[in-house]
Amino acid sequence: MKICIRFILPILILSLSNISFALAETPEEKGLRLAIEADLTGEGFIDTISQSQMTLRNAQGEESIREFSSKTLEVENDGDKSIFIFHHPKDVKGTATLTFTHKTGPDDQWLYLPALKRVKRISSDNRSGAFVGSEFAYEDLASQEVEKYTYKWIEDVPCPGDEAEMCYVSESYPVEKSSGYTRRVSWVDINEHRVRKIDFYDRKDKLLKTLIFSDYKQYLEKFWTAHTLKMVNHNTGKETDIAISATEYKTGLKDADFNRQSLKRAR
Amino acid sequence: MFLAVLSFLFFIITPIISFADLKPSFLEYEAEITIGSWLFPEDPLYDGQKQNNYSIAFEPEIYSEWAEGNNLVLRPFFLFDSQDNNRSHIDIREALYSWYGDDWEASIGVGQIFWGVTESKNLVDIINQFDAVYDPLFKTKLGQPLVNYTLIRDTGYYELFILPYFRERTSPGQKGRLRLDPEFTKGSTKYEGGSQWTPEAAIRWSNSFGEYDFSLHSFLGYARSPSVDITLVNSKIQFQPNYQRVRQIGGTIQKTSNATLYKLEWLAKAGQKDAKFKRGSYFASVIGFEHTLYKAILDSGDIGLIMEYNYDSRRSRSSDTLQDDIFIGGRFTLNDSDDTQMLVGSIIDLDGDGQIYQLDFGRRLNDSLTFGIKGSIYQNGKYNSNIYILRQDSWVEINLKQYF
Repeated sequence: MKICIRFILPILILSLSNISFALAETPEEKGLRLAIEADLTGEGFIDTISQSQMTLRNAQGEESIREFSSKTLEVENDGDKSIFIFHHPKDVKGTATLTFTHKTGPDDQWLYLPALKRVKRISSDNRSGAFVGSEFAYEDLASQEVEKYTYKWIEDVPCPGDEAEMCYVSESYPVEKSSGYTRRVSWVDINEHRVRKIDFYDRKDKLLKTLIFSDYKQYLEKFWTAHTLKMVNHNTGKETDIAISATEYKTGLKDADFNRQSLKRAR
Repeated sequence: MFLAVLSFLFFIITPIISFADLKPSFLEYEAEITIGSWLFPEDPLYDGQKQNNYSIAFEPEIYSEWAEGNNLVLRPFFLFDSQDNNRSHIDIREALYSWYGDDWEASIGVGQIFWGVTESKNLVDIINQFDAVYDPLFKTKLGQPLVNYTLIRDTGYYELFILPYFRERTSPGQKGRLRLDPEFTKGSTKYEGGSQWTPEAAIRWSNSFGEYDFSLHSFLGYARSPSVDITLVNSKIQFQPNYQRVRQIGGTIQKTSNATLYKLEWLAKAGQKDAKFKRGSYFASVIGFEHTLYKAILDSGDIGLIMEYNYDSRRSRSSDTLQDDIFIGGRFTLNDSDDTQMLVGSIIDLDGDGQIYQLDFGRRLNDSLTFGIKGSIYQNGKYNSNIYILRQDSWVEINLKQYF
């Protein structure tokens, strides 16, 4: 199993700082500006720990459950460091990954297999692959660095499912050729930079998946976190829900909690 | 042997427990039961061997933490085999007390350590002995009594091991398959230049630089695989395992480059007897790559293509089956909700000493039950080679593992 999680923080934690530029912008400039603003408002979380449950549902409605926890450490001038640990089902309990995300170039990633006590350096090249058989691809869950996409603002509309709020609709185009998408279309609320919905278009530019974010809670009066994510695959009818049961910020994690020795201890 | 391990544990664990606050802050209990069946399509060749067998393995685990940075793991292992008394055995897989700080970790007790990067064989993986009767694919290991100290620095991970007690490789009894003829004589094991209590030591350094991972190690102690002494007792041939003290240095390199991993393991060893009973020095290496084709099966499953070359400078005098062999393998990961995985491999001897085909398949049946099929086919071995000796012993294992 190859797991690639920098966790969902940067797309989940988007908060306000909507500076209006009076100057005329192209839609591309506006899209990039909004992406940078959204990214800046997620900065300064220092570290975070969360517990999640994932429900995989096939077209017949049969469900299977995954449980995992993750720890993330913010790194200045580079991508985040994270450890991701499986708890359920029992045959993969204790399986864990350590990821050093980089703003440019491939990420460094190690996988720990508890049955063999083996730490394996693995490739982070599989960004378009399915994460543990779910409808989430590794790249959907990866740290959303601004540099990894180009952008274009489309329009401002009432937010889907929340007509009282206004959202900006923006398209982002992955820089990496190994991405499974030609583009993503995002609905993000103007007030707080919270992502409400993303449509994913496959390599043939056909609508492949839709992801809906809900149950936002604010932490430390700054960081907005969605506690429910629902991904629907329009091709297969399969769905995957992620329910984040517990999130904590600034827990005092250190750099020493993110190395191959601590990966072996992760439980 | 088991008693010796127990007494070692007693001396190690007792002072720790009595000094520690007895009430753990975190306690976790789990267990696995594995029911397995070995099927041999061909009739046994050697006296006393039975056709097929069934086994049940029980492996509970207790994990506890006291203060932060202190933990104890206890994991005994019990195996009962329907045919072979030697295969039925009890082991302590782990009984390890560990404590750690930001840049160090120490542990004492019985542990499991894995070193290596390649897939066909891990030359450098010297700390633990294999549980060869339980797992003929050599992935499962016996617990090793050890004291370990690891330092974490910017320049790498530095590990020191002291191993006070040597574990003999498990081997089949008269009724068992996958053995020499006759089987090893019980209680005849020799430890040249010492006893099982003669200490061993190892040091290792490892670090990552960008897409490269390196390690180097040095080891002083018993070779993990025995040479075979042939003696005549009452005009009957007997085989006796004989372990020699060796001095070894070795290392690993892995380059992780997009979808391709390039791998090397090497060692230089002195003191071990070869298949001609000559003591000498030799060099061995495994070099190869693994390339993954993502989403190659049903738009979600991956195929990993593995090729590795195994070299041993002793060539035909090597007691190792893999001494001038090519391993070609495929790893199929369906990435489905049942985690279906399969590794198939073929080992081809370039000196014309036969082929081995291997299979390892597994999938989840429900949240606490998994299903597996493993097996090996041994073909066309040269007269008296390892593969020749096993020519009737191609096997398939079917197993169910229940987690509690």
